[in-house]
Amino acid sequence: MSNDIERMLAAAADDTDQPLHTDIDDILTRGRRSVRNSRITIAATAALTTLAILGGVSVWTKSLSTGTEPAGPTGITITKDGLAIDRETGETAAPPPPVSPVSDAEAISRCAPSDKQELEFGNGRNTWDTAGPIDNRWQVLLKSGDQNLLYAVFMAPDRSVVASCTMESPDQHIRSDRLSTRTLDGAKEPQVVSAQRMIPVPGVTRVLIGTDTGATREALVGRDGYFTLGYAGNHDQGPSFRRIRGYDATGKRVYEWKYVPPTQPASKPIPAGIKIITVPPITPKVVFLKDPQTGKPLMPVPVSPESDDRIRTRCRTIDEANPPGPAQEQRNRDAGLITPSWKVVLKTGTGTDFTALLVAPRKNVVAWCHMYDKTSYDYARSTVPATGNFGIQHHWGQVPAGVAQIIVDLPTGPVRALISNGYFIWGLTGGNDDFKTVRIRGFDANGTKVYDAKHDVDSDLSGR
Amino acid sequence: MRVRDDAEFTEFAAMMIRPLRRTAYLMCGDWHRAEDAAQDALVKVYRRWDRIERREGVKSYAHRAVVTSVLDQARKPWRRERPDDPDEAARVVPDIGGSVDNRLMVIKALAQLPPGQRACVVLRYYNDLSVEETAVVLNVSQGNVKSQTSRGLDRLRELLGHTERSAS
Repeated sequence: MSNDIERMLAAAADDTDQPLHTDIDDILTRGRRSVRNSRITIAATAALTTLAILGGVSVWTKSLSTGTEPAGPTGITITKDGLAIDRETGETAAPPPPVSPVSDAEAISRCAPSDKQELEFGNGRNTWDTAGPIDNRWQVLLKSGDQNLLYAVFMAPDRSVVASCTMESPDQHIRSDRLSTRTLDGAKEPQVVSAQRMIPVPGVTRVLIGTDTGATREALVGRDGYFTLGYAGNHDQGPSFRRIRGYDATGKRVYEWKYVPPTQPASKPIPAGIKIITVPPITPKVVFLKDPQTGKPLMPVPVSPESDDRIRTRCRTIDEANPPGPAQEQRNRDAGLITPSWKVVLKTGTGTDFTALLVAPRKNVVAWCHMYDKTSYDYARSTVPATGNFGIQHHWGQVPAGVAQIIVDLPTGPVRALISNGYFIWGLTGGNDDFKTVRIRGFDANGTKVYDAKHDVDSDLSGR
Repeated sequence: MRVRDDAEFTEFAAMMIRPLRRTAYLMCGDWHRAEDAAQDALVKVYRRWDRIERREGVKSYAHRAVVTSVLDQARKPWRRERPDDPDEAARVVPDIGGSVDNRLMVIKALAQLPPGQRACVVLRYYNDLSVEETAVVLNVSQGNVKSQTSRGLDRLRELLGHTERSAS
């Protein structure tokens, strides 16, 4: 039978009638750009973040209203049949899905096997998920369905993880997932909220969902603000949500989320006159040879013996092979190819291998250039954000104000970063990236710690 | 990525794009998504070309990348999986002798397996990977691969048998 399965799979995957639309050169280009753009984007992102702080927050507060409002026209009215009428439109929302008649214990029993698989399968990816598989210690937050269909949501005993499962029948699993109740790195809200599973406002008793089909449906609301439109069977995926509104027991709207179609952020171009602002050098009274906190010896980062001219010449060859294209920012295009006018502000490495930073004559573009084994390279150009400061990036950083010495706690041991012209680097970054979250500490001239933060940086300094 | 490696990578990508797309198709039932996933996987391979060659084998990494891409696509709430609606393009292909129906039947049956079982069955019985290789690709234990494969095969047999009986 396995042979039959193999034969059927091979037949199902037969793609002779499926033309390939991929050009391998495009993949190569995407690969190169993914390296370059990810780095270029760092600067652009910093600029956009600044804009978002100025202009984006108002959009967010409009789309997410967590304050109390007059019940009036934004509330709901409940009919004698228990249906919710949306006072905004006068429309009666479709009723919520039924509460499942199965017991909590039965829901846990049905869902446990698939949750265990999901947990095992997701192992290694979700480092935040340490709650273990669902069992009878987990709380059932919500269960919808009938004797066969089931959608259930469970809360871990330590309240760190919410697991959900969808079943077609008592032993036919459709899907499971596990979400963090916390706001994960880089997110704006708890994962369970961004996944549209719960409303982060206390006291919500009814939830209306506007769907992509234009319908307004009432969700089933469970404990702690968790809600669902249920599972309709036959692998139904349910609609996409366009609007979520939460109401308190009096029918007053206390929460609203609206879908905002993704649009290209209208980024204001940063004027070419914005220059990189570097802090003046500070000479430490005592150079650390050991970590002042742990006593571990600090690995020094060598200055590259390559001459500045040689660095410019070698980095220019990459520029020539990958000239800034139309997709790149104007300032980057204006900076043109590396010329003798570009200043090598930082260079580390041994022999002919190096990682260097070069600054354009207008002091608004930085080229990060990694050369290894004569012909291998890694390269990115970044335009300065509106703040004039790149901060600490994946492969290099700008020295924070007041800092004379920097220690980077790499997995291989602490490193005393090389500081030059207001920039710093912790080794031969580039090549095979191995990003790790590391602690970076800065010390003033007297050796007092004045900066301490974690950053995701390239920790593989082999250069390969 | 290095200049010297570009030629090697291009050769590898040209060789792997179709197999990866086929693997992804069995995982997701949609040729367009499958091609996206295969492309994404190869871009990931490109970024890690030297390292993966040294450490675990580039094909294994490519398989891992494509499986992860498909699963990640499916997990995103805005990219909803429609297992009962396999690729339109496949549906309109002229079908002589019912082969397309059979193919879609298999794709539908696969779609009903949980992702872990589906991945194990595809990698073991389509990509012909060993238990050990599959465990590496999926980053799970060998025991997990064995149990998921076994359950997946049982379920697939049940689904295909049931479908065939229903059709007759």
